[in-house]
Amino acid sequence: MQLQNLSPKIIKYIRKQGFREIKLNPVIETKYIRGVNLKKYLFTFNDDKGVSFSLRPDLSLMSLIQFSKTKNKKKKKVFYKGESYRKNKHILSQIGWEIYNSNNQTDDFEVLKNSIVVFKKITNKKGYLRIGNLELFFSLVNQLEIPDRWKLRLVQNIWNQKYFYEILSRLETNKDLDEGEIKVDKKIFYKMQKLDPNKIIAGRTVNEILKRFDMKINKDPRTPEGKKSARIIKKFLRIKCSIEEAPKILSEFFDKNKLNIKIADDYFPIRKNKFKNFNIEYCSSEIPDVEIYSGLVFSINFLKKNKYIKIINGGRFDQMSSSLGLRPIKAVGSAINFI
Amino acid sequence: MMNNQFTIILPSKGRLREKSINIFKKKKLKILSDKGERDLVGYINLKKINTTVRILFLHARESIQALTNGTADICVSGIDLLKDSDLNIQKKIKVHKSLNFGHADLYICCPIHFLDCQTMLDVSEIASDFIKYKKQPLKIGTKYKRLVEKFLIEKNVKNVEIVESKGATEAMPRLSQVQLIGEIVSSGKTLFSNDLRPLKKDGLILKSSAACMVAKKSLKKKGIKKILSLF
Repeated sequence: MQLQNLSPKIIKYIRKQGFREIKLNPVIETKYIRGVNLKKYLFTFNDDKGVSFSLRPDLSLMSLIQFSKTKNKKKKKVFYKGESYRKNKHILSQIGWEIYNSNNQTDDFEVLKNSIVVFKKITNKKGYLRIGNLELFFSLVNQLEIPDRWKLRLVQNIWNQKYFYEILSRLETNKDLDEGEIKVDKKIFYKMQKLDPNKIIAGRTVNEILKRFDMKINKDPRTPEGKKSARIIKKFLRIKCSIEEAPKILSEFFDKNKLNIKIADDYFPIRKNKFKNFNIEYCSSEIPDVEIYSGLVFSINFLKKNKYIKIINGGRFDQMSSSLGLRPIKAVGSAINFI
Repeated sequence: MMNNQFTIILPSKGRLREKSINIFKKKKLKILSDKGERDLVGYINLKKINTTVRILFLHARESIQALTNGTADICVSGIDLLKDSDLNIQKKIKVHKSLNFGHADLYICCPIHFLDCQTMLDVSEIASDFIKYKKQPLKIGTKYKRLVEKFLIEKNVKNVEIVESKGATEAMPRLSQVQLIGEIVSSGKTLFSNDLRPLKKDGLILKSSAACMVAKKSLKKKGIKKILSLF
């Protein structure tokens, strides 16, 4: 889809909804960029002080960083437009609308509703809205009977599907532990126990190595727990149903697996599908490829030759600014991508 | 005729040099040189196609560079070195044939005393501990900066700094310059004698071997196919 023809229509609508334009810097300090899918394709360069910069790979991230530098603590509706630069996609044009310092679900609904209207403005095709919520995944992992470091591994790698399933399969089969290797390592372990605990080996003390080794050997998941947990995660990620049924189906799933997670009827910002020519469904595996979001996530797709084409992405990113070391900003937003 | 001038670069040292020279020996072709065995320039007379091929002996890394700046048409070098070179360089080179020698794997390796470090997930966690408790990134020494960097991104390993090595990478952890290294492993003897081991489970970055490479520009030259058929 060509941005030039469609953007005036979209911007006119977004402006009408009270969103004000934020002009974005084309360059971003590389340290702010997280996640495999952005990092892999960056155009980077260093300034004469050795600080690494990149051409902006994503406008939503840029907009959050720029907004965090203002002192505005009131709710603010902004929109942005322009190009993002990634090696794999050359130039990707984006228009996005975001609500900063947003505290309630009505903002989630506003962003979702605007996304649906924008979709309808650019095409007559049937829209497929998929809604998920990363909080559910995080809570589920948190309640599984696996060591904390495994919980962290799963949560940190959910964005990279291929690697995530590789980790899940290791959790399932316990491939991380090789009995033969443990025997050899144990011999070294006993030898190391006799060393000065403060002795440094390649920048690490003997004490910290032994402590972590002991923790791994004794607390690493054994097959039954790992297998069971991996099975629950896989089943959860397969849940897909109409948005009306989602609270009931999810509650039943959590009850069945003895997980203390309650889903209220009004958990999702859209409870009933009142939009014409739109299919709205809950989908646990709705996970964007950009590591920004921490709560609600959604995408709007259309069908082309039996394939879903994602055109609008969005969600809530309340943790993002603090994780980047910026002032905390609760935010929800969405963006349309044109190639 | 200009079309019939060809330059082939072969590795200047070690087993790679010997095995590359053997390719020609098997075809009963002798590399001639004016100044004896240590001469870095030689030539082969290809009477069948009425051509003299110039042979240069260079470091395997330099030979890839030489293909792109027009110094040579063909080279024998490592796949690892090609993959680690600049994208602009890679675009200008075609791998004609993988050769059955110089097999080596690029691995993330750690000291044998790092008992708790067996997978890349461990590396990721140790790196998080480093930044949390020591306020510094985990350091990885390597000659293959680009490949290691890409691999670490794919494995979602954050809080690491890559320290470029110019040689003797295996010594870096013993000197506490780095915690881990990204290095080529063939028999594993060098690693073992330096108290290091590869992360066999998921630390493999690249499987490599020697290969015959050709500059894409040279593919247009008349007679190149006959020269390439020697490999």
